[in-house]
Amino acid sequence: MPLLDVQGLTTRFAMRGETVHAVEDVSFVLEEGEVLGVVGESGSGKSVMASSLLRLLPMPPAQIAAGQALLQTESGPLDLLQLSEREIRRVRGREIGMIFQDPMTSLNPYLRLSTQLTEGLRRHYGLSKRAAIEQAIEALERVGISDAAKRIHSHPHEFSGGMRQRVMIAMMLLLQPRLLIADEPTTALDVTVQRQILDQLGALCRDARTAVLLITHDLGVVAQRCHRVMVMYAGQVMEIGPSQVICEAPRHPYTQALLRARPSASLRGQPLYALPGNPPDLREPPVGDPLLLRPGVTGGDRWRTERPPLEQVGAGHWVRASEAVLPAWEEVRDA
Amino acid sequence: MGRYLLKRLLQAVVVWWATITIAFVMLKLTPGDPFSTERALSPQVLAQLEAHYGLDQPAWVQYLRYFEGLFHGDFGPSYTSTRSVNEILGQTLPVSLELGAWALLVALAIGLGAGTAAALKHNRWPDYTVMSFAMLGICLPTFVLGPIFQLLFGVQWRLLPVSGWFAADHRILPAITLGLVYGAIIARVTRGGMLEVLSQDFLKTARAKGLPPMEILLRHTLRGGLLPTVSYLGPAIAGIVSGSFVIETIFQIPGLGRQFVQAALNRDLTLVLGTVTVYATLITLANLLVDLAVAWLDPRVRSHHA
Repeated sequence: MPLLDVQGLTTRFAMRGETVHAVEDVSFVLEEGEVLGVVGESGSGKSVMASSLLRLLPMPPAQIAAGQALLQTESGPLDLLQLSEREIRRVRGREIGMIFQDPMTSLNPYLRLSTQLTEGLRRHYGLSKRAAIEQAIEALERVGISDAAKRIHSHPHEFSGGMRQRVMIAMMLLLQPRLLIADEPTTALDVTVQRQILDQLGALCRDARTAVLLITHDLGVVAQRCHRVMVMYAGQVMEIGPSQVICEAPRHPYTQALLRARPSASLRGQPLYALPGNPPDLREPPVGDPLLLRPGVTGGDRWRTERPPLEQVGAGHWVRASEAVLPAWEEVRDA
Repeated sequence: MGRYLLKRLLQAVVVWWATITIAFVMLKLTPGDPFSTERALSPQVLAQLEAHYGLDQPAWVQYLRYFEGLFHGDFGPSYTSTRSVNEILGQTLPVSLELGAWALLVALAIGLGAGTAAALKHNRWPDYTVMSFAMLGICLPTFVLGPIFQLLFGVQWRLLPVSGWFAADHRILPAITLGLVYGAIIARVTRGGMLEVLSQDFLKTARAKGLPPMEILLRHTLRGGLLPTVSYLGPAIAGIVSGSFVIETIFQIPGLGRQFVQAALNRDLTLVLGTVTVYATLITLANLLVDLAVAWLDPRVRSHHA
C-alpha cells in the first residue's frame, strides 16, 4: 500500500458565476520516504493541488469536485477529501506537514518562536510546555540554528529569510509527519541559500523516512533531489515518471520545453528558449490537448477536441499523448 | 524597551509643557479679564484685585508662578468663584472621568464585537450591517443624537431620566451618546485590522499545523488584528475626554467639560488654564500608555526603537 494514493483529484473555484478549473483529474501515488517533484509554470495548478490534499483552500470559493486521496495512518487508510473538519485537523501537521514559499510571511511576527514551535506539539502530542520547548530547541539545532536555547525566545523578525525557512522546516518536522509538502520552499530565497536549505530538507526527511511532495518550477532541483517527477500544465498531469528518465529523455513536448528553458553552461551567451504565450485561461478549460492553445505550437490536430489519455511508456513512466510540435528555437528567438 | 520608555516619557513631558504654555500665551493675548464686567469697577478696587491675584506682575512672572504652583499641586484661585480651582476640579473631574470611562466601555464593547464579527463575516450580511450602522454612527453628531435619545427614552417611553447625574440610570444615556461615535469608529478600525491579519500567510501556517479555529483566532489573529484599535485608543480617549462638554451640557451633568465652557465664557483664566492642564495631563498619559501597549503587542516596534 502506498503512503498516499490520489485518484482523480479535481478542484474548482467558483468566482462570480464563472468556474476556474484549477486542478483537473490528477492521480499519483507516493511511497513512504519517497520524494516526488511537482513541476510546472505558475498557474499550472501545483499549489492548489497540494493545498487541496490538506483542505487548506478557502471553501467557498474553492470546491473539491471529485477524487479520493487515501493516506495510510496508524489507524488505517483515511480519505483526506472525505474527512470532517475535526478529523482533517488531526491530519494537518501530525500526518502531513506543509512549508510555504515565503518564509518572511509564513511565521507570525507577533509571537515568539517558542510559542509557534510548541503549539503543534502540545496539540498533537499533549506535551507539557517544558517538554515541548526542549524538543523544539533540539529541532532548531538540527536545522543548524546555533544558540537555539536562547534564540527560541526571539521573534521571527530577528532572523534572515533563510533562517526563517529553517525554522519553518524545524517546526513542521518536529511533528514527525509521514509526508511533508514543500510548496516552492526556496523560491523566495537568495540563490546562495536555496541549495543549503534543500540539502538540509532532503537529509532530514531521508533520516526520518518522511515522504516529500516538492513543488518547484526549477527542473534542476528535481533532477538531483527527487525520485520521481510529475509535470503539470493547465491543471493536468502531462508526464509522470522516474526523474532521471524524465530529465534525460523527456517524452511530452511540454516537459521538453521546460527542460530547454533551463539555463545551462553549455549555452552560455545564447538567449534562453521560452515557450511563447501563457498557460490557458482555466475559466474555459481546453477540451483537447491544452498545449495546442499556445501560440506557435503546430500539429497535434488529432487531440483538438478530445483530451489525450495518459499512456504508459516505460516502468512507472506515464505520458499524456500529444502530437503538438513546439515552435523551433529560431522562431522563438526572433519573436 | 527601557530606552524607548524613557524617550516616550520625555516626549510626553515636552508635549504636556507645550500645551500649557500655548494655552497660557493665548489666554494672555485674549482681550478682557474676569473683572471687565458691564458695571465698571473703580480703579482702586481693580488695582487691589489685580494685586491680590498677582496680575500686576509681568506675564513671565505670572507664568513661572503658575508652574511653581503646579509643582506643589496648586492650580491657584478661581477669579469668579469663592472656591479654589483645586476644589472645583476635585468636584467636577471625577464626574467627567466616570462619564468618560462608561463611554469608553460602551465604545469598546460595541466596536470590538461588531468589528471582529464584520471581519470574520467579510462581504456577507453581518459585515454590511455593521458597516452601515458604523457609517450612521460616525455621521450623526452627539448634539443631534443626545436630544433624540432624550426624546425617545426619556420623554416618549419614560424609560430613563432625561438629565441630571444622580442614580445609576442617569449614566446610561450620556455614556451611550458619547460612546456610540467612538464605538462606530472602533468597529471600522477593528474590522480593518482584523481583515489585514486574516489575509496573512501565517494563518495558513497555523492551520497547516492542525490548530482549531478558536485557537487560531485568539492566539494568531487578535494580537495583530487589534493593534490598529489599540493605537486608535489614544485619540479616542482624547476625544471622549474633550468631547464630554457637549454631553455634559445636553444632559446637565456637573462635570469638568461644562465647567470649562463656563470658565471660558466668564474669562476665568486660572480655571481655564487649570482645566487645560488637567486635559493635557490626561491625554498625554493616555497616549503614552497606548504607545507602550503597542510596543508590548508588536515586537517589531519594540526592537525598532531599542
